[in-house]
Order: sequence, then C-alpha cells, then structure tokens
Amino acid sequence: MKQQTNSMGVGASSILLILVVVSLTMFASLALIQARSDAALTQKTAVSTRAYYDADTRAQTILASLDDALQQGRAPDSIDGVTKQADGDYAFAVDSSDGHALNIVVGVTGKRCEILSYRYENSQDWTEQSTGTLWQGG
Amino acid sequence: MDTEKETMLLPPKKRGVFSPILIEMTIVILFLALSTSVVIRLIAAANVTAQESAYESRAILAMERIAEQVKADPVGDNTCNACGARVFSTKIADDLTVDCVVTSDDSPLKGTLYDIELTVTSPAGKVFALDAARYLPDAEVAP
Repeated sequence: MKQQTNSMGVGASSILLILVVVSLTMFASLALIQARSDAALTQKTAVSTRAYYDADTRAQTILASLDDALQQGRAPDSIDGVTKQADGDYAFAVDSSDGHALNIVVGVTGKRCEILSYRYENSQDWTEQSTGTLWQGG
Repeated sequence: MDTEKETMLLPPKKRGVFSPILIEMTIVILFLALSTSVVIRLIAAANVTAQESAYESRAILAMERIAEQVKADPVGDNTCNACGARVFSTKIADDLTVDCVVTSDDSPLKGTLYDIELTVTSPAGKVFALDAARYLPDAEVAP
C-alpha cells in the first residue's frame, strides 16, 4: 500500500504569509500616501483661496481710497501704487502671497472711479520647457 | 549484551509533542495578527486624513460661494444685531454650516466698505475661516 506524503513542506505557510503581509502593507501604504497627497492638494487650494481673498480685500480698500481721493479733489495717482496710464485710466496691482497679482484698471468719471478691468493673473515669469522628449507628430 | 538488555528495558522514546509544522503555524498566526494590526492602523489613518481633507475642501468651496453671494449683495435684508453687524448662518449640508458676519465701515467718504468674515466649524471642532471685503460706492447701494 502506497503511503500518502504531504506535498506541503515546512515553510510553505511562511512564504504564503510573507506574500500576504507584503501585499497588505503595500496597499495600506498606498492608501495613506494617496490620502496625504489629497490633503496636501486641499491645503494648497486653501492657501490659494485665502491669498486671492486677501489680495481682493486690499484691492477693495484701495478702491475706497481712490473714491476718497476723488471726493477730496486729489489726483488718484497720489495714492501709493496707483499709476496713470497713457489712455488716462489709472491702474494698480495688488500682489498675492502665492505668486499671483490682482491687476486693476479704473476709469474716472466725475468724482468717482469705475472699474474697467479686474484680473487675477500670474505674476511670475513663464519659462518654456524643452520639448525634446515630446512626440512632435508625424 | 548487557547494554542491549538495558536498552530493551527502557521505555520507548516519546516523539516531540510540538511538531515543526505546528510550531511554524503558531509563529505564522502570531505574525499575521501583529502585521494585521499595523495594516489596520495604516488604513484607519489614511481614512481619517482623507475624510478631513474632503471636509476642508467642501468647507472652502462653501465659504467661497457664500463670500461671492455676500459680495454681490452685502446689504442683504439689512437685519443687523446690536453691534451693527449682520450675522447669519447658511446650512450647506447636514454636517456643514457656514457662519457669516458682515460688518460695515462707513469711514470712506462716498461709500461703504463691507468686511465679510466666514467660518465653518467641522464636527471634529476644527475651524476654517475666510475673510473678504467689498467696497460699495453710495450710488450703487440698492434702495
């Protein structure tokens, strides 16, 4: 009579366990890394939003000062940061903490100013990247 | 001959109670329990971080929305409290309410500068805040 032998030797369960533990740890670490990168992105969004509203608040204060200056008969460019443009309009920029700037152009009608342009733009220099690694088509 | 006799008299040798496979299985189960607890902690930390960032993201969007609404109409229903501030809350979701305080500054000669303070308090007690402002010349104030 043939004796049945156990094909699973000592150590097979250990190898299986190591594979399972490595897989579980990898998935858990990936989940944590993903969650942290999401949190970092949310933080960046929060900082950017606050920077915009901070710049907007300062711009609104300057607009109030401009109106005050016009009421008092002073020239708008007497306010710090406000410059007169060639077309007679006045412009000023409010820097934001995240590398943007709020560029505003106002026109003067009578004794009050009117907003002509209110643009939140990137104030940092744009540098072109090398296109050497990109497929150029054809 | 004597030694053979002595050997025959001795009781048969007992085999070990713990076979190698049993010992290995015990170690495997203990290691699996330990590593599983570590993995569960990692997943729980990831879940907490994800939920917090999701809530903050929703809170920022809600505050932006309310800020733009208030900037469009800072006077609103003109119901001010004893301090002269307009205080109201807007419920965005069951767990998300935006509290808003609008104070007016009449120091500009021909207009009003409205200061808008928005806050959201998370269920965990964390406070998110956003400040905005709007200058409204007198001529533009709605009757």
